[in-house]
Order: sequence, then C-alpha cells, then structure tokens
Amino acid sequence: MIVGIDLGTTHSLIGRYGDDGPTLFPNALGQLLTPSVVSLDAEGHALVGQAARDRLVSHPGASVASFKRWMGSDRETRLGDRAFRPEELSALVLRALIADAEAATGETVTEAVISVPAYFSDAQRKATQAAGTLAGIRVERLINEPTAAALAYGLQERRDGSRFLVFDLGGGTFDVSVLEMFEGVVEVHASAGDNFLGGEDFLDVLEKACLADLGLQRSALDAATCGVLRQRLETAKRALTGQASAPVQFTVRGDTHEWSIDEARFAQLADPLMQRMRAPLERAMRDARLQPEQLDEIVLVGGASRMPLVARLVTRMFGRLPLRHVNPDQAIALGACVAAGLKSRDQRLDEMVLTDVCPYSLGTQVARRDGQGRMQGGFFEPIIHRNSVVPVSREQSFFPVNPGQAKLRLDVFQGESPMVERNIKLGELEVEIDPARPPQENAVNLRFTYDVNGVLQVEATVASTGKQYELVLEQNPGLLSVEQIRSRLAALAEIKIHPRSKQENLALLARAERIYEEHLAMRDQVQAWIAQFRSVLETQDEMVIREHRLELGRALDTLESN
Amino acid sequence: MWPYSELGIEPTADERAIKRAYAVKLKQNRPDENPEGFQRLHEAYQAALQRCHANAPATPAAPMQAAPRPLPPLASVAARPIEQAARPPAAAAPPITFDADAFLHEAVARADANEPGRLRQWLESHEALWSLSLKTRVGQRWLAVVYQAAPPMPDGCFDEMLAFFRLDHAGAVPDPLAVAQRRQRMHLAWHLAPERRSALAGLLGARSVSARKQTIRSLDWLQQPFRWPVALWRSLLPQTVRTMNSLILRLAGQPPIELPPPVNPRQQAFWLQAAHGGPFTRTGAAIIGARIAGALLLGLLLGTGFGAMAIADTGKFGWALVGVMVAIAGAISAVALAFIGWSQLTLWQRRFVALGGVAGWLHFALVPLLALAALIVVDATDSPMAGWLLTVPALWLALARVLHGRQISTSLRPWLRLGIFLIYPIASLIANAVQVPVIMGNSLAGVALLAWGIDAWRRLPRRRRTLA
Repeated sequence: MIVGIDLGTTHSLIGRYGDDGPTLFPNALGQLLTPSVVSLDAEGHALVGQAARDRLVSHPGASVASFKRWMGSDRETRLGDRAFRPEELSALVLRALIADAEAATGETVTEAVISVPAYFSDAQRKATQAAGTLAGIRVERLINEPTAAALAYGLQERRDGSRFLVFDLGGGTFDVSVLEMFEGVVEVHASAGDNFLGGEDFLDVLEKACLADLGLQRSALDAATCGVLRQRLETAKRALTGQASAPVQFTVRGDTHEWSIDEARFAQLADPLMQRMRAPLERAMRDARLQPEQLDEIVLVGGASRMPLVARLVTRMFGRLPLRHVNPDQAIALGACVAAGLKSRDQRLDEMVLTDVCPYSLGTQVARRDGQGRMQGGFFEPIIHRNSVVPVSREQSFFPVNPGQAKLRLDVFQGESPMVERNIKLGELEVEIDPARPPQENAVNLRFTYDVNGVLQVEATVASTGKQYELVLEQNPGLLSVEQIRSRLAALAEIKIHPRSKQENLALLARAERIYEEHLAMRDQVQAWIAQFRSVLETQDEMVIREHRLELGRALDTLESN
Repeated sequence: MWPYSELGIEPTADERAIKRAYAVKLKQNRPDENPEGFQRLHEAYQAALQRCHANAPATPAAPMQAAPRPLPPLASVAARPIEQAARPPAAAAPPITFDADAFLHEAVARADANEPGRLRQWLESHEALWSLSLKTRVGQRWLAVVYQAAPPMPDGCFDEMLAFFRLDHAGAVPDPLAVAQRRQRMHLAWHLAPERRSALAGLLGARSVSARKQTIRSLDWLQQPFRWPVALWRSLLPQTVRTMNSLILRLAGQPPIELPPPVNPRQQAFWLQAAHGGPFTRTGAAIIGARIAGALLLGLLLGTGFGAMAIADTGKFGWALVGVMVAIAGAISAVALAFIGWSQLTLWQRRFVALGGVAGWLHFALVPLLALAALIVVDATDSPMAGWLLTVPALWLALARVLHGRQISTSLRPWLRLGIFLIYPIASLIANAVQVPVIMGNSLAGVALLAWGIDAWRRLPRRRRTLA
C-alpha cells in the first residue's frame, strides 16, 4: 500500500487514496492530527503524539518537538541516554503513523509519498527520505506542500483553467506557490518560501513579550514551567482568532502571573514576522510573471494561516480576500494522498500530470566586462533560473578572461544573490583549454541538468576539442551515507513504540502528569488519581481499565475546564 | 512550424487550444518518464503561449505593460479585517494617494544618516506599499532613479533599498554589474559630500591634524571649477601631483572610475594626466612648461635680488656684478631644470614601454647609453665633473631596476641615494690623498652596466614571451 504522509513541524497526518478519494486515518486516540512530538519513557520505549506532547511539560528532558526544523543538519537531541538525529526522530513519528494506517486498513505499508516544504533544500529533502528508510518504508517521491494542498483543493473544486496562489504557513515553515490547473495538468509556476518561519515563531514572539512584561528571565524558569507557558500562549494565540484579547495565567514557584494579549499588540509584536512573509510572496508573484488580478484565488493552508493577521496580510498585498475552502490542517495530507494515488497509477487519477519547479537558481561564477573594458569577477550567472520547470537541462558558453589561459575553473553555485560570495558553493570543475586560441574563440559549453528528484548534473564540453568533463552533485554535508543509514536502522529498531492498544492509557497518564505539573492547587488529588490508574493498569483487566479511563478522563476534563 | 508542430496543432492564437494540446501531449511525455521529451514539449508550450500573448496584447492575460511615468496616484488598499462577522468592522480608511517620487526623494534624504536598520523600518512602515502591484512599480521607478540620477547614498542603505524592492537577487535586474557600479558611485558621492569631508579624510588614513587638513584641501581642489592657471600653479611641485594622484586612485580604484559629483571630472582628469600622462600630452607639456618657466623666474628673481643687495652694499654698479647676477640666476635655473628633467626621466623609465621602435629601444637601453656617454665624456674631456653628472643617473636607474626585481621602479633607499651621490667625490678625495690613480668614472660606469646587464638578463626571457 502506498500512503500519503504530511510530516509537519507540529502535527503529522497519514492517509491514502481510496475508493472515495483521499482518506485520512485516525490515530489510537481517534484524532487525525498526531502531534510531531517524541518522548522516551523510563523503560526506553518511545511515545509519539499527544502523550509525548503532554510529556513535554512533565518530562521536558526526555521529550522533543519541532525537530523538522533541524532536518538536513547534524544537530542531535539527547533523550534519556541516547542521542537522536532529526531523521531518527522523524522516523519514529513515521513509524507511529504507519502503525495507525496499518491498523485502519489491515494492509502493510510499503511505500509513502511524503510532503515537504517547497523551499526545502536538497539536504533537507534527502534527510526526509532517509527518515522514511529508517522507518522501514520506501520514499521515492516527495511532494511539495503547497502543490499537495493545490492537488487536494483542485480535486475538490474541479475547477478548470484557474490560477491560484497557495499560502502555506505551517508550524515551522512558510511556503508560497503559484499554480495553474487545466485539463488534468497541475503546473507549478513558482515557489518561494522561508524554511524558518512558522507558527512557532509567533509563539516565540509572544513568549518573549510576556516574559519581558512580567520581568521574568527565561533562563530562570525551569523547563516544565516553560512548557506550561508555551501551551498557555498557544491557547491564547488560538483564542485571538475569535476574540479581541486573550488572558494568560501561569505559575512560577508559587507566584501566579497574569498577562493578557490583545489583537493590536499581537499585530505589533508580529510585525517583523509579517515583514519576512512579504519577500516570498513578492518573489513568487514576480517569478510567475503574474499580476495580483490574474490570480483566480488565494488559498490559505497550514494551521498558522488561521491567524487573522495572515488574512489581513493577504488582503493588504493582493487587494482581495483569501479563500479557505479546504481544512487548513488537512489539505496537505489530503494532497499527499492524491500524490500517492498518482504514484500507484490509480485508475481514477490517471488523467492528472503534475509539473513542478526548482525553487533555487543554479549557476556559475563569471567575470563581467564593464564600460571601460575592465573585467570584474565574482558575479553569479544563473544557468538554471529559479522556478524553472523540472526536469530541465540548459547549456551556456563561457570564455576565458585572459589570452594564453590554459585552464578554466567552473564553479557551481546555488543561490539568489547576484554576487557569488553570498551564494552556496556546491562544487567546481576544472577544464583544460588550448592556450594558443584567442579567448573569444575558446568556448567551454557548460550544461546543467536538474532532474525530478533534485539531482544536479554538471557537464562541461570544450568546444574546440570536444573533450568532456562531468560532475554529479548528490552528496551534501550533514547527510547520512547509505551505510550510516543501515547501522542507524538497526539501532533505531531497538526502540519500541508502545503498542497502539496501550496508547490511549499512556496518553491519559501523560495528560494527568502534565496537569499535575500545571495545577499546583490540585496536585495531591491528581497524584492520587495517577497512582490509582497505574494500579488499575496492572490488573490488565480491559473492562476495568476502560471504565477507569473514562472516569479519569472526565475528572481531568472538569479540572482543566476550571 | 515550431512551436506548434511540437504540440501537434496548427498555428493558433487560442490560448485554450494551446493548453489543451499541451495537456494531451504531456500525458505521453511525463516529466519523470521522459525528461528530454518533456523539456522539448514544455519549451514549445511556453513559446506558443508567449506568441499568443504577444499577438493579443489586449487580452486580460497580459496587463504587464510598463508602468506609466510619472506614476499616477493610486488608491491604496485599505486594510480591513476579514471574515469576522462577529466583530465590528473597522472604520473604512480613506483612500490614500501615493506619490512615488516624493517617497523616493525622502528615502534618499533619510539614507543620508547612514542607518540602514532605521531606513528599513521606515520603508516597511508604508502601508500603501504592501500592495504588490504598486510596490513593483515603485521598485522599477527606483531602478530608473538609480540608473539616471544616481543620488548620493551609502552602500548599506542602497542594499536595504534593493532588498526592500526585491531587486537584490540574480535575474531581478538585467545588468548586475551596472547596478554594482552605481552602488559604488552613489556610495562615493555620499562620502564626498562637503559635510563629510573631514570624516572621509580620516577614512583615507589621514591621522595627524596637518595630514587631515591637507587631504581636506585636496578634496576641496577636486570639487572646484577647473581653471588652467590655478591648476598649473598647484601642480608646480611634483609632490602635490603625487598626493592628488594617490588620493584620486584611493577613491576611484585602479584603474580609476569617473568620480561622482561633487567632484569635477575635469579636475580628476587633469591630476591623473599630470601624474601618468608623460611629457607628450597637453597637460604634461603644460606642466613642464610651467615648471621651466617657474625655475627660470626663480633664478632671475634671486639673481636680481642678490645683485640689488650687492649694489646697495657697494653703492656701485659694474658689469662684473651683472655677470655674477646672471651666473646665479643661471645656476638656480639649471638646478631646477635638472630636477624637472630627472623627474620626467624617472617617470618615463617607470612606465612600461614595449620593445621595438626607437622609443622602445631607447627606453630599454637608457642605462648603457648613459654609462657609455659618461665613459666617452670622461675620456674626451678629462673632466670628472661631467662624468659624474652622467654616471649618477645611470647608476641610480640600474640599481633601482636590479633591487626591485620584477616590478619596474626608480626609487631607491635614502642611504643608497646619498651613497651614489657621494661615492665619486669621496673616492676622488681618497685617491688624491693616497696618490693612487683610481679611474672612478670608468669603474662606476662599469658597475651600472653590470647591474643593468643582470636586470636585462632576468627580464629578457619574459619580454620575449610576451612579444611572441
């Protein structure tokens, strides 16, 4: 079975393309959204989802969230006595999701299409694929999140010949894509984004302002208090979508602090973030060569796009209201399911073809001749322009600067600055040329070929001799090699995820423990409940356990609603 | 006919037909299965669409016409909260008109403070510029201002302006080199503003009060209107020419660009010519002429002065006195002329002159020619003074060449200069004292020839290579 997975910064979802279109599978707690949080318990078993999220408060040292932001880097996180790479943490989330899918369908998951932010770099994409391998599934195809959202949206709307902009503000990433759909073709015109801008950043801003207002130092707070504060602020942020102001209350070492945030203040605090959002939008529109009036619709997806600030941003920039037909939390996952259906060549979807773009410019370093005939070096000359439709192969001729030059160094750069010093160097190719020829007759043809999977191949041909040089850029620093993945796979297999049957109980226990941390007044009571529930669990009598579970759940609900 | 043949249709201006044909063909050439076929198809599709848009400029699909200039006032997009039926609607903002030129004018004025962060905040605070279409147009206007007017602006602020209008990435501007040059020019213009002259002098490395004063004066000269008499008067001393030259090169780079206003381009050209032009350019000839005239005048003045003093002293006027006066004037003029001649000679020797032609060979063989002349003169006239006059420059140039290795230079360390001047008289004195006949002229000329020979030996293979 091929599944579609939205592996998000804060939440993840799984589903597949079934008889009645894309379907998402619920987790053990019956929810479609599984928090992308991993926690390790005392026995070294992994908890994923809501239970792990609650344990962020009660066991901050053994729990981790938002690791999608570190994908493609070497950063390791210590949970208990083991260090995890971001790929491994993602793999644990994937394993939990796969278990949910297998429980829902009874079939084995062999392959998945995973959605990634459109602006994810090569390293980040490879890390996502490695996470799939570590979770024991094949991930041949990644789909860009805005494209996925468009697939879901397009299928729902069945509108033909429309152009739209997908605005995807997730928990940790911001993506913009301009697309067109016609005659069963989904064509991406342009993508742009910011890999480090999402709902979490808005939370950071609120946290900083709150602590500053109350005269508290973040370093003086323990991890549990921070966890509580963040969850309270998250609630307040969500509340601001419906009301003008929201109160925040939390306790530090017995002192209760109260704070409140209103819309105007939030808008002011978030202004730097809103300013950062302008760049990708302006870029995507320019690259798509479209005027705002030419867009048929602006679609908002991603949980953080629910903020009224975002709708206002779109209105200010495009002079019109955004549309939000799709459930912003599920759109990407539904689109990933459609992509999975396309991948398995589902008969119902055969009429669809998707074309995507390369979000970065790739090129080489050149010297330019100015008006006075002087050569000035260090300029970036794009060969594959940003937002070219992939696969793409382009060739350009370059000439030596000086007469009598015997070698030509061709650097390969990725980036958007017109000066190479601000771009990323991917590699270089040294080509031998005939020094006797005059420079203008000594061309070297440089060909860049970029395939659907993001592999760049660089080929240089000396025009006079026909001699060829080649460079394939697949390796990225900060990535695992095949052998490393294999050894990590074995190590990761030792970490068990609790069976689904137990997860409801574990999630409830985690929740009770979180509430124990948060509610000082009722601590003894909550502790007694936890002890009681633990002893009931030991009886292993399903009937009794279920009864107690419902009872404890209700009790905690009452406690939290007060 | 390409591109329509690739799409399998007759040439058409119907966008829908092109898209339909593309969709059909695309399903046979999927990007993941047939990359080459897909790329060919996609290029044809793009070309067909472009032709279709070019032929029908009135269709709504192509309103990307150039922004009309000057920009018409535009109604801003009022920011209104959306989809909150439960909330009271915000008071409708009155339509704002946006004056792009006034905005850019103020941006330039604000950039003068050189605080990029504050400039960015100010730019971002413009509500009207949230609108994509307006911002694109204002950005194009800014680019036109940069190309045409290039107002003074520090580079940090220039970068902020480019970044704000998203013109700071590859492909956003047609010619990045031109923009980079404008950026440098605008930055220089900002530095050169009269009120920042003192700070600029500090940046140029003038530490002491007098050095700072001198740099400020030189900057002032560069900005004055050009007048020949004033310029020639200032360029009388070679030291001034050197200072002005190095100041211009530090500002304008090597090779120099034309400095922006307030620098007067004629002043820049004059001082560069004065330093590099040589005696055969208009400026060079004028300066040499002025210097010669100056030297003669100085000699005449001093001679007359001495004469007048002598007459006042003795109260008598005699022809002998006139003779002394003329001799003094002549001697002073001769020394001054020798200096001028020497400075022109070193300037010429310092320049790279390719072999071949009379000038080239003369340039190359100046040292042996001087040495030979010295030998002949000493031999013929038996005057050690004349020999000394010719040997010293030969020795100087030869030693400078040898000691500086690859680069062509004529400068020597002070103790070496002194040595060259003194070795002849001292050796003569010693030779006279100990009554040993030493043929100083010959041996020193020999040293010069030897040094030149070593240098020529070192250089010749390189010359031959460049010639080939």
